[in-house]
Amino acid sequence: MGQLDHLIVIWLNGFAGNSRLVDFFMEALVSDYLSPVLSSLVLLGLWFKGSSDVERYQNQLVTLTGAIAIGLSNAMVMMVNGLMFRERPFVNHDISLHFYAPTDSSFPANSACVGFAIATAVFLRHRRLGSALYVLAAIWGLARVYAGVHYPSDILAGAVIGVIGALLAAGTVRVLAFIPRYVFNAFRTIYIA
Amino acid sequence: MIQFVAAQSGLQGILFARSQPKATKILSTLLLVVAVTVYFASGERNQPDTGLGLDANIQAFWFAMSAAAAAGTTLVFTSIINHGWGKNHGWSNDLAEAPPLGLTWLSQTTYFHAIRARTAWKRRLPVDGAGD
Repeated sequence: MGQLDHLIVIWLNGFAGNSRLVDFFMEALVSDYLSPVLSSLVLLGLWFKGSSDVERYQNQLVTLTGAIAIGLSNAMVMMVNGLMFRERPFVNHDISLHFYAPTDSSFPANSACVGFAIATAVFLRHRRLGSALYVLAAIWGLARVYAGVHYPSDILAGAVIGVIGALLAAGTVRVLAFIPRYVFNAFRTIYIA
Repeated sequence: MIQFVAAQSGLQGILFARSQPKATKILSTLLLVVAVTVYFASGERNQPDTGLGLDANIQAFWFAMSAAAAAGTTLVFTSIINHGWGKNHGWSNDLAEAPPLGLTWLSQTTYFHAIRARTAWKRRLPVDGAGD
């Protein structure tokens, strides 16, 4: 597994630096800002989306689930980081780095965790939109391997943690449904929900 | 994003161009693409969070603040722009029932008109004892 990890990083990173256009797109995709902001914008949009009160309420629950999922999955990543540390690929291999040099643990990938957490939260209610977010999260992960800051197994582990975090968040929202119902009803009296 | 979804969901009261929902969707998509392109083309954006970059928590905080500011600005300005149209929302203080609740009513009126109707009904509430 470790050997395969190294081979994929070296192979993907081998494409870096060959085309300025591809590098520009990859440096945008790998960024800490593009994918999380786009995914969060989807969550923001879902707050307003719906042709009826019931539909909008369901979508607002997705927004809430997404926000909780990010928090839960990040907490899980922090726990794993407390247990183990893995060096970044650019530290262990002679590869070109197309990102800044992070100093925290490579495993698991926090970026994949956030991307997949949001995608799963959305996918549970909106299959097509959620699938698009899964693709975005996967491209974000791929770009991180291309840029030399993560191994594929970091991305895979981050994705699994993100999915688990989102499922836990969805379960929490379902069990404690009376809380969002009460809060959202209060918001509805001032026309912000 | 708010304009795109409002146009899609028929929330006319929070649209800047109420009569142009299609144009609103196209323009808001274009604005998003242009903003992202300009942001990444205008400088080095991959900065470490130990330097000029933002860590995840700060990023989440600023995203929430920006989203709230965008929503607030939208509600205020669209209330001014659509003021005349929003008057005909179909609810009157003479009616026994309370004004409709929630964002859905913003398909028929503006945010200010909705708040005004709600406040008027609340003020009347202790006098004639009407309830939700």
